[in-house]
Amino acid sequence: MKKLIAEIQTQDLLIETVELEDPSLEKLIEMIRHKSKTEDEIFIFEKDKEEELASIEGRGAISIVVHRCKKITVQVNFEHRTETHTFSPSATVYRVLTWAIGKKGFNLDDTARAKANLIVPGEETPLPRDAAIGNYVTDKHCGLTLELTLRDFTNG
Amino acid sequence: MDNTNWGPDRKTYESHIQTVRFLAGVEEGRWSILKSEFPDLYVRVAGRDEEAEVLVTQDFHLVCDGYPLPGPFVERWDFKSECRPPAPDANNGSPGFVDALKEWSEGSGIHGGIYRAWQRHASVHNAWAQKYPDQAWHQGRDLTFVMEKLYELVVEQAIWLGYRRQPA
Repeated sequence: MKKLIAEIQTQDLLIETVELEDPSLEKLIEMIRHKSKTEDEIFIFEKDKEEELASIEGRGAISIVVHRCKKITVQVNFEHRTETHTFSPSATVYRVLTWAIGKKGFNLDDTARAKANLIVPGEETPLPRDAAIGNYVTDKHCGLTLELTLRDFTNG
Repeated sequence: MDNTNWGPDRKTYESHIQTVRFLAGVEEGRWSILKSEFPDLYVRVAGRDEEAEVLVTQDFHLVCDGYPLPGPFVERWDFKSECRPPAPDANNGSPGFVDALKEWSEGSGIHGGIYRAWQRHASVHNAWAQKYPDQAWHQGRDLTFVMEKLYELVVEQAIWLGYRRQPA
């Protein structure tokens, strides 16, 4: 019988792995809603995808991000400029970084791109690039402010 | 598969290539296993510049003896030719991709592998792992961590190529 293994990251950032026998999208969503233990509206995404989860056809393994926001407005500061773009909460830090250093962001040159990282203002370590940006949203308005930095994070 | 004679390194390795995140990366087409014959793992990583529609693939060879400590040795590879290909030319690659895949040695004359803090030999080169703890391998990591880092490198190269194909 076909089986789906799903890693589900819930709104409280807990990660749980579940297995579904004879899986369907409806079964998976029902399980996620049950585990989320909230009456509030939630949105379900595959990791690093912009659209809400609409199909699990042909899938045997999937990483899921559950979030109260459908979209996150990401504001990135760099030097004296600010650029803004919306992403899904499941977008990875790397996807945001790629936008920020690219032509539609701050259009950095090759050398600067190689050094670039995103950081939460006031923090001392760059964000892990494979993390979902929804993890860092703390305000009620589905907004996130980050800094683009070329800092060398050498420890010592 | 008879796993009664597997050592702890192989048991850990086999469990790590069955995690949801590793398998999801395979299903998403971000990487594929070309051959898994412990301690050797051969993978192909595919990175895209979605805007410029550029696809780059790069093979890598991982050696996971003693896994998870030390972390995997990783080198650029050509699976079809069964050898390590020449290092990328600085004129034909992004600075990060070229630097990571360059030819270097830790001093013994043997190829040092991917030049990044998470790679077995590079991690101890100039105490790189201590200097970059956020990028360093440790026992709490799993193989998907390495695959994500390799994926970033290949996407970076795809975007670099995509830039040069797009009008300014």
